[in-house]
Amino acid sequence: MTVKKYVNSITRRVECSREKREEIRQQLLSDISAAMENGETLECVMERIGTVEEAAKEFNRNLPENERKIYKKNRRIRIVCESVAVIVLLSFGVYRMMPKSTEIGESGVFEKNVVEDMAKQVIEDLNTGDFDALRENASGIMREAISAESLEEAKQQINEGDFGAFLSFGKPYMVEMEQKGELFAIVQISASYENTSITYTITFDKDMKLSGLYMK
Amino acid sequence: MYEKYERQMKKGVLDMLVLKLLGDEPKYGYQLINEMKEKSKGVFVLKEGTLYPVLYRLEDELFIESKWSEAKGKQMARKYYRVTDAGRAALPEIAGTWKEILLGIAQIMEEDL
Repeated sequence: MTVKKYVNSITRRVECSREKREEIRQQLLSDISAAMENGETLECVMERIGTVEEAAKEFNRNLPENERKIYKKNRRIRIVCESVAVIVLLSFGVYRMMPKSTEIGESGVFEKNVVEDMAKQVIEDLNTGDFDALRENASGIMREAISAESLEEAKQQINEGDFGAFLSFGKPYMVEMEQKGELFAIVQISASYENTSITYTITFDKDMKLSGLYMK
Repeated sequence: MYEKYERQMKKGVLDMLVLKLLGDEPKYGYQLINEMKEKSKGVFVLKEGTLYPVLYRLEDELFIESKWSEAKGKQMARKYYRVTDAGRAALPEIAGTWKEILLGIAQIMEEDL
């Protein structure tokens, strides 16, 4: 152990004001230096002054009560500040993770018309069964999920897959959403078919790759 | 077992002893510890954790004052203490009180000594 480490370890445990702690630290460093110049080894000094805990206990026993009061008050303030800091950081973390939506185009990343056209193209590819086109324009995870089987299975959940011929699109509702630092465009658009009506929720990432598809 | 009693008894006279030792010339902490040990023939072996609070207390009471010396080459700056006029005036009175206490103790303890 070095002199500095020994002294710092002692003073860290002394229950007093910050100013008094620094005063003790400087004085201990100076007096230990004097002892070593006088021929004492650091081991002798540490044996004489005591272990870190013993030395700190000695100070705490002899320092006046008002120093201890200041220490306790400062410690209470520090605990409160640290707790507030933790709460603020946690809240920030939670806030950052929560999705935040804004109007499409606000970030400058997405263009309203392009997003709408791409969403309609996705639905048209679904209608025609062009799964290759869907996969080509999909993000990595989506690409793996898209297959004739999986999409057919999804369609079967609605009207047993019997949509009939496509008739028209409804008005699209579009937002941008940020989640975990990533930006997405989300389109909700209904499509009318001969036998049913489907509401599609289609998500694109910032590169306009299909990254989510939901139908009901 | 009796360390607590020894500590309490010695604690009462430390302020007076430090004032006395600082009467000759300014001294720093390590010097005071050594001198106190030598002159008391090993009765008063102080640790810094006991001496420093005494010094701080005497300084708060304006009986002593401190000053850091300049660092000299490899030698670190030292915190020197010297007795003030107020301290010098207070010492005889404190010593007088101590003698009275000693007399009172002797009268009680005489039978058992």
